[in-house]
Amino acid sequence: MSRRYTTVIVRCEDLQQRVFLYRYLIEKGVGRREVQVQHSPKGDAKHWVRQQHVIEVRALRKKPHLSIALVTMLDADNRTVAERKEELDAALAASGQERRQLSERIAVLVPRRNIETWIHRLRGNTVNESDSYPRLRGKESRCCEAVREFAWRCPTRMVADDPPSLRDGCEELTRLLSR
Amino acid sequence: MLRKTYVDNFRTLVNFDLPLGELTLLLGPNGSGKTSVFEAVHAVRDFLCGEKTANELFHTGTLTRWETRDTQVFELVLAEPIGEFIYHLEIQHDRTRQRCRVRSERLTHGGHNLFESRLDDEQLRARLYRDNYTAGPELLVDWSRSGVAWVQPRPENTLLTSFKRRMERVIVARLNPAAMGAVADKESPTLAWDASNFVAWFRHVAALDLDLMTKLRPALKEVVLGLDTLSLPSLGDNTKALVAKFGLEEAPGVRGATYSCRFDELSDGERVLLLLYTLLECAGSECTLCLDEPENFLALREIQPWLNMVIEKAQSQAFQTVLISHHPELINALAVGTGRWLERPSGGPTRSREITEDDSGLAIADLVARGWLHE
Repeated sequence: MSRRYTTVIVRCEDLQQRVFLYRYLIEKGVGRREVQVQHSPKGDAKHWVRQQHVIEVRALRKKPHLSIALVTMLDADNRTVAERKEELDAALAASGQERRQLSERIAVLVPRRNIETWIHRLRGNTVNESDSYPRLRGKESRCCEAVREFAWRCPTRMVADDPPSLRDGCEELTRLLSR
Repeated sequence: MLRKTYVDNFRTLVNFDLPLGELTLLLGPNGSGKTSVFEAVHAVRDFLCGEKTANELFHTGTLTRWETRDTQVFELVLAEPIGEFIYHLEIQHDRTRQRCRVRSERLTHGGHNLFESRLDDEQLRARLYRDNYTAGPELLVDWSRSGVAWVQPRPENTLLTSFKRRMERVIVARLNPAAMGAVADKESPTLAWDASNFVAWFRHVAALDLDLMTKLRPALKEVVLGLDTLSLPSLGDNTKALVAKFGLEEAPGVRGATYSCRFDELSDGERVLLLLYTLLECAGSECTLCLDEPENFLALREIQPWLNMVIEKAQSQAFQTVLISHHPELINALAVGTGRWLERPSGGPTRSREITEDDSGLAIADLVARGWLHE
């Protein structure tokens, strides 16, 4: 990481995503106290993540003098990665803000079908982005080995067999952390 | 890990069952019995470690006030890689004389007896079983102490011994930094309920792991401003003090310097931070950590870094954590999936239930604050 952020804000849907992103950032050299992570504390997680994205993007833009970065993650489920990203941009527009620019310190990650797809792939399995894979409910931190694999492979060792959403996520994180 | 605890006739716990996971958050109103659960686990743990007598741990004042029965029951289910242990203890009280004694005690492994004692004709008769579950001799044991604790390690009772060793790694604490001194004249393998003997315990764990100070340093340097090292200088007569050395960096208007503080000169929050990070670092795997409102003395900024480490360690290293908390950060992060709600309907005995997702759109901590959880 060439630039050291004082705070990396992470907003995501659930504990599994929280553990995944926290571990990834630590693996990439972000300090434990520099990560401020929250997952949805209520039922409609996607709505919460969209709301939080709007709030955090506004805060980030209002404080350009601080080294803050934002990572937002939400599962694609039965939508595409582009559609989920568009939802977040639409939420920004609805709040009177500009769409996210790739030059901003904001990464949007959309695992498709969901985070379990990424974990299953990073554990060495072949996956597609439409099937569901086993959840690690209650044992979310068991994904740590998979995250370490991701941190090792991203960005230079990603392969064509990796699901497109994982490669896109890698690009987003690389852009953010190499800034 | 402790998979289940059952308590009957102890404070507000009557016929009370509590399943536990690798990470469990207990929440509920004041007086709902959360701390009583920890007190029960702590008492059984100390009893099994042979540190105290039944009268010291289960005195008559711990009986449920509205119950007339004179027997208390405690049961722990411990699921380990080598199999499932069930420890069952019954304490019989004499309310008139304010005394109590063991009525029965049993330890099983995979459903087979490893130890069994029962009060019979005013004598506590015990039978020890070998690792192959064959019965050993019958003997009379002291009814004021745990018979399991009394059994000496032998090649034929390695299962019972490993159960005891595992129970020694159950740490239950309700931190009280004001009670934590800086000096200890001996080592203690056990952390006291209020962590008042932290320095004695720290001496013990530092003696077991000579690299402990080095391992702790990076995390502590981040959380305690200016902290450089911890040391245990001798004050003579085997007495040692825990001392923190600080480095003041040179800055405009500030002259660089180093200085030392005894542990009891640190703020309450700094003492708790040192303790919490030490617990995470040295508790190791196959350990159960029960902490009652650990965030009480922490600055808001300090809660999440510690919580993230707990989540990670709890699930990945056979390191079990049970927390009691009223803090929104912990509630929102952990309640769904790991939370158990404790309550006393109509002021009666404590009951627990799983916390499930809610479709109101409100955060769990908001639901708790409004008294709307499960409404």
